[in-house]
Amino acid sequence: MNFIDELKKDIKDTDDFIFKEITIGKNNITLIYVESIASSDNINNFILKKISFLDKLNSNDLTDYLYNFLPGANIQKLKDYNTLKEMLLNAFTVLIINKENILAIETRRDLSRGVSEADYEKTIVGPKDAFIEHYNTNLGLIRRRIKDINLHTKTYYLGKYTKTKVGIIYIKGICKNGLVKDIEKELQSINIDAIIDSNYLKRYLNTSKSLFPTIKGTERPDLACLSLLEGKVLIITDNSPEVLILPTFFIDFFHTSDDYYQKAINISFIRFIRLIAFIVAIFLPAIYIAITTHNPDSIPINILLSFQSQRLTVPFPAFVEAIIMIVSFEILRESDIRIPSSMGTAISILGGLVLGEAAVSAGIISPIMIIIVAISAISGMLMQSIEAINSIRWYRFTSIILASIFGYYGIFLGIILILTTLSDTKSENKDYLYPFSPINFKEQQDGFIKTNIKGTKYRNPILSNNHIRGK
Amino acid sequence: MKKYLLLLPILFITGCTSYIELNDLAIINAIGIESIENEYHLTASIVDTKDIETNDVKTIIYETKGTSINKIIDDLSLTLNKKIYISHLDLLLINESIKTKEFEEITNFFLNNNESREDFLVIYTNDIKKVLENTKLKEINDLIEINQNETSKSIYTTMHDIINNYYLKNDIYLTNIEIDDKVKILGLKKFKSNKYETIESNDTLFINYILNNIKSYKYSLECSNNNYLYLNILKSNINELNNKYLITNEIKVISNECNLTKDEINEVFNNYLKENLSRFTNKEINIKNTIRGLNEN
Repeated sequence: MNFIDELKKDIKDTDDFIFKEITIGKNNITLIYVESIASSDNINNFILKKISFLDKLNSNDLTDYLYNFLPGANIQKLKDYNTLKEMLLNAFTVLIINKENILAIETRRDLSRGVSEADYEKTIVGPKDAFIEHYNTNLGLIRRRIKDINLHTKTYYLGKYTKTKVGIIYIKGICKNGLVKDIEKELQSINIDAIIDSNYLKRYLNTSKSLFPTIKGTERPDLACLSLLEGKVLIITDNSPEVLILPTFFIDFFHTSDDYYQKAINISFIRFIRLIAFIVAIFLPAIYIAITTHNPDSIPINILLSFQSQRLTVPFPAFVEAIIMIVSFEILRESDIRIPSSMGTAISILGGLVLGEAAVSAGIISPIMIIIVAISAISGMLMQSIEAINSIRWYRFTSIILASIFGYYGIFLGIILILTTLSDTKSENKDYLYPFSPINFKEQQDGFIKTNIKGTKYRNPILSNNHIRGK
Repeated sequence: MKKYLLLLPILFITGCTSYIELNDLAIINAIGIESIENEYHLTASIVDTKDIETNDVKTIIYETKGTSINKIIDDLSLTLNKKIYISHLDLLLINESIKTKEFEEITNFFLNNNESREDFLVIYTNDIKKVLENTKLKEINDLIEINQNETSKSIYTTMHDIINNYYLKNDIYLTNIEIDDKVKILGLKKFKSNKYETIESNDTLFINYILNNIKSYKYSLECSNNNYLYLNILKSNINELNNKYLITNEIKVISNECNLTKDEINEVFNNYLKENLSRFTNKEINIKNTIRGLNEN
């Protein structure tokens, strides 16, 4: 059975595989391509047009002639049937000449969107471009910024059915070899049907049980480059606009790329605000519940009386009230993400009215609880990573439960729980709380406090052996 | 798993037993205690939460009597459908009926009650019920505090001070107030040897000197006909050593209409202090002043 018959048998009724027979003198050429991923224009202009001139020529070895003269940078001679199938599915056009020789020419259709603005990692200053779903474009966005021969890539094709192109990107000389090898080993061990998005890889690369994310995904090429220059490793996945940064530390979720484009003193202030927001996001509802149920003696009487008067008509205990509000907020947030943007305004108004005015008027929820949950929710949104936001949500629930049973004592138990979890967490065998635990005073220059670029002279010693920047 | 089991007992150290919903509390913000015929009479001001929406804290007055403070506080709950909550007590009013025996009972109560604090104001008045009914707690607190800080004509005595002084057998000084149209400071009451002595309002300053409570006050003297010397005493400190008082004052001259020199001002002010302080102590008094704001040229 020849390749053509074998292929026709394999694809059965699949109708986007196009077969075209061309006879030139004594030679018979079968042109095969997959219509849905290959570009018809490219095939017409660079293959069929060239072949149409062949009858005037008298070539003895047609395969060699086509290999040399067809205009295409990526043209390959194939030997076996499996490679032929793979090439077809990678948008190559295959020419089977006299049922023996096979040539594959890249005729990929551009299915990806253009480079656009970052969607969830917004910044005020700095570059606006973001990664897209195309591997080479993403790599190009990095190479455009780091023009160095030491920027290395290692490519893998993962997923039994998807054969998704996954690349490890690092800078040789900055990044420690051991880290790259560890990640390679982890990628090689992945055995899965499909890698649809880079988030699939997170599940395999993240061995920590912590709720806090230990791998950060970014859509910003500038942040990716900053990470590379720090000695970190990037993983680019084809068809995913999110590039993974490994390893990731807890403090990384308090940093944004435009932190490096503004005055250091302003950034130190903003990072301090982010830290407060993180604490408020987790503990504010719990503190309110502790005050109203166990520790009313801990606040001035005027505030206490204000709380008391606001809760007069509320039929639920503070704990139930908080859970109702937080669950309502989560429903609103989820519906806001899922529904089409044209209906977003209606839902926002409805949600705002129901959660705000109407719930208070009906005496179901006290105004102070709305304020508490709103501040807590908004504070939680300061994190740009959705996984970090989700982890905050779980710790918020945990601290609320602990506070409702034990009061302030419960909140301190919650703090101990979070600190021990964070201390126990590792990202690619590196301590997640670094540079705070273990403490490194030099690294505090870019921790919660930011010194100016001149001050950040040293690279993170646990990521790089090349310690001094600029050398 | 074993390590988690080890952690389990810490969950039972405290917790659910202290659970109480905020709206189930009857918050007492002020109480008056007097002793009549070997019985304690308690007048308690309990915050009425229903009126707070108008941003005006209104209170309801409850009265009980009994043979012990514990009992009368407990008896309050007979007329209330809420838990008595004493942590936010801000004011205790007492009158002449509270003597050594009663002080013993009161200090014992507050020392042994784990809910209450000891930083609330204690004052003396003969109009306990009238004061509680007709004035706002914040007004009284502010009146005493501002007068202590700005004029040194009151003493902010807390329960903590009373406990200390009572058990150290020191004199107890309480600000004495009365209510007419408004609350007014009359001076001090000094509790010593099971009886109260009255100290006039003008003399409160010197008691504050001796107790090292001076924060700031203003002094004026008619140095010649219709000409005045105005001083602002910004800071004062008293040290007691070998039966001697050493007083250091930081003084700012506001107005010097008689054109007195620094030495003359020193002399005038020192004489004024020595003369008045010697009425309250028989210890030797040395005064050292730092005078600012005087242009001697």
